[in-house]
Amino acid sequence: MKQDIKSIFTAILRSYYNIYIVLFIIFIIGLFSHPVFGTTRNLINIMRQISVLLIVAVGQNFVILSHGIDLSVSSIISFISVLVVSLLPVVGIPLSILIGLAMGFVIGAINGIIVTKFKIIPFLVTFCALAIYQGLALYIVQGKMKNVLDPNFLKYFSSYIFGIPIAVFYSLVIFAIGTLVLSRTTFGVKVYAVGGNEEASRLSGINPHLIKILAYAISGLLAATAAIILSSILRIGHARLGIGYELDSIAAVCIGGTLLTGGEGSLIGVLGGALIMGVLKNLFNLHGTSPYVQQVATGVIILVAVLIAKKKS
Amino acid sequence: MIETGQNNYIEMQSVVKRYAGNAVVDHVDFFIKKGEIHCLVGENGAGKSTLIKILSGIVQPDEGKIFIGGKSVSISHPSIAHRLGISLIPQELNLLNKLTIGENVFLGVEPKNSIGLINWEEIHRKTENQIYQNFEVKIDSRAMISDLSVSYRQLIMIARALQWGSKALILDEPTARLSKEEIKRLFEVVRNFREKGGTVIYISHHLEEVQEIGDRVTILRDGKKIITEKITNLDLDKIIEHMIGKKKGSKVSLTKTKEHEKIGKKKLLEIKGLLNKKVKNIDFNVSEGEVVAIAGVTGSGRSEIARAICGIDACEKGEIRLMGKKVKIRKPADAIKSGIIYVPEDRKSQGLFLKMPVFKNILLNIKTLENLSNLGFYIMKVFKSTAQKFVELLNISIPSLVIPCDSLSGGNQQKVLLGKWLTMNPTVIILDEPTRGIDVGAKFEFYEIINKLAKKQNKGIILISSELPEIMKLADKILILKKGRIVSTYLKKDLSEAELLNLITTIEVEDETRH
Repeated sequence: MKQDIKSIFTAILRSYYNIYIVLFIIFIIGLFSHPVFGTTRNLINIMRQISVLLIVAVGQNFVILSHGIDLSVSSIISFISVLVVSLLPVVGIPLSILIGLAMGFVIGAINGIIVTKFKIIPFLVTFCALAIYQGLALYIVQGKMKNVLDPNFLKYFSSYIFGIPIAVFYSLVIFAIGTLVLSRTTFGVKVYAVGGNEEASRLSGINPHLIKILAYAISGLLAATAAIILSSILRIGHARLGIGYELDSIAAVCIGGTLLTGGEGSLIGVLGGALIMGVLKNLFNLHGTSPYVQQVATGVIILVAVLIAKKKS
Repeated sequence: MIETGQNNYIEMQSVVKRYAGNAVVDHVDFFIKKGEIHCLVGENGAGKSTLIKILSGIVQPDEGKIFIGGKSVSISHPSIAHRLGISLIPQELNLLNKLTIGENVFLGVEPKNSIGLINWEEIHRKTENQIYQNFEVKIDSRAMISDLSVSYRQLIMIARALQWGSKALILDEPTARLSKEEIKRLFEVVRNFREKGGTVIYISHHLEEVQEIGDRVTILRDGKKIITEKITNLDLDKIIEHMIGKKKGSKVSLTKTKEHEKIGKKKLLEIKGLLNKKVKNIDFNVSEGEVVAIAGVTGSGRSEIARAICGIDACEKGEIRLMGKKVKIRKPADAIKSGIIYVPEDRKSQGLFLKMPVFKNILLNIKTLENLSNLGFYIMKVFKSTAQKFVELLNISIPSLVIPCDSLSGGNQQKVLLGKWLTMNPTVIILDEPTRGIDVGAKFEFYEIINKLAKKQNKGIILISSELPEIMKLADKILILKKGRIVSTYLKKDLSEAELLNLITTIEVEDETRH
């Protein structure tokens, strides 16, 4: 057992140390470049931001591992946010959360069904979904935002335990489940198989369509989870709440070493990717970098990550 | 010294190509005269395709010289071969399907009008004229390639080569997918090209075609040139003799138990009237411990039979019985669950997950995954120990179970691919070209494994192979396949390798299904 843990740990270090070294360097730079960066308050703030991104990125990782891509996560977040917040006063917390999660799952599954059954490239399908659910979200609230008034909703998703945001615990649980699914279940093996070689997976008796549909459904489900937490943190249901998460989640997955061609990558890397993205964003904000420049930086970072991954393989 | 005859248009002198230390082309002299149709024959693995790949710039030789028109040349890239006037017409025609005939023929050499734009009128007019003049066929140059039949596409490929100024055509198995009528027309086209001074290198498994169309023939065996001779000086038996040579006994003596003769008569697999677009009314049985080989030339539908049985390609009709019980197979998973498995010929694209670790590859079929897991969860130790067992059983040499498959040698990859199916203990194993692209040592290991599976474990084995010595070594029963039909069935003991080669290359079948 001891040896097992040791070997796992060295394996992690060996394949992902690059990412964590980069993270460490950015962190050091942060400490020296801005006095606020190292404060407890700021670090807690970073953790909360990263936890939402991590949840979305875990879902995105499933899709990308299966050789797809999900651009619709941001609009799913916006849509589920306004949906759940609108339902809260009407049907109560448990039911509105259940509906929200179920909707996320179904939206993802629909993406997957269109991708597999009609053989349309994932980029296009989720690009259309991005527009559709963004539009629906705006339509529901007619462009206005809705405030969250239910104190219990805030307690469940945006309170603190031992001074640490509860969202961090949610994200770690999801991260752990995701890792377990990918590394200890036959479903996980199948996800890698379908992404690595779809024809061979079919010849091995796997139903690649089903696996892909499930991957998109997981992505939708986790985007919905992120939507609920984010709505609680910001205390609003807002039709533009999710904007940027598609890019950031893809960036986290790419930086984490998951190949866009599918079949290779791990959540430990994705965690590193999400941490890098979160810390960088925080630093940009502290230094008052324009959000426009931040977008440019995000794009460049993804490109560099992909280039490094390509060089490695 | 090698004589450099003046009338040789192409001369390949003492060409050598080695892969992993093995010479697949071994000091071959290959001389082609201007204006002749020169056939190149040999068994699979004799070095034909490597030789023409060298000549067309796809592969670089390790040794040897090439002269074209008396000048020493170095063909380091296919574009240089084109510039030298040599065009390969491969089996898989590489035309742009979404473009018109004219666009394809003039690809890269488009005529421009006065303001530098492409002159479409001229392209289409010239294409139609050129094709009419060369082949006496009238076509609409504005038709899309994707709307054409294989034989027309071939013609367009040749027209394109001519437009690029080719003086020598290399035709690689050009008739594999053509009907009789289409073959006739192709022969006319080829002869026409010769009349106009063109040179042709013609590669075919069909020896009758070789006799009909060829002026001279060069025969290769095991990477060496055996003979270059006028076709009229060789009869069919002589050609076959040169192709096969005098066979030495195999290095391993395969175990043949006599008990097997007594017990092994229980029918495992019965196929009746299997029919789809590629295979016609396939009937055959596989008994316990029996190795049934499917022999046929490229394009005869060897793999397609396996794909139909295993539910990879859809079937219109047909019945499959396993141990007397009728089984319904609509998708690969059905075949796997009932115990019929297909080990595909192309391990990289259809078999393995190259980026995944060896141990997961070995377990990667749904039945094994199900067997080794509980409610979808598995224990890593169980996975690894099961995989380890098969790694040892098949003698796969790997430094660690977790290294990805793409770092293994061809032979080891092939063993992983076989192991992946053995983990589920199948009843019937269909092996498609099980020893393609692996070295000789690994080959003999495979023969032993296959033999053990049949004779010791009483599996039913269907062996698809283009290597006749392999069939002769392993098979009990041989099905001769031609154009998707089983035309005859022989017991191995009633056939010699020469007879088998003769059978698969020369039997003619009624062609009533063709238009």
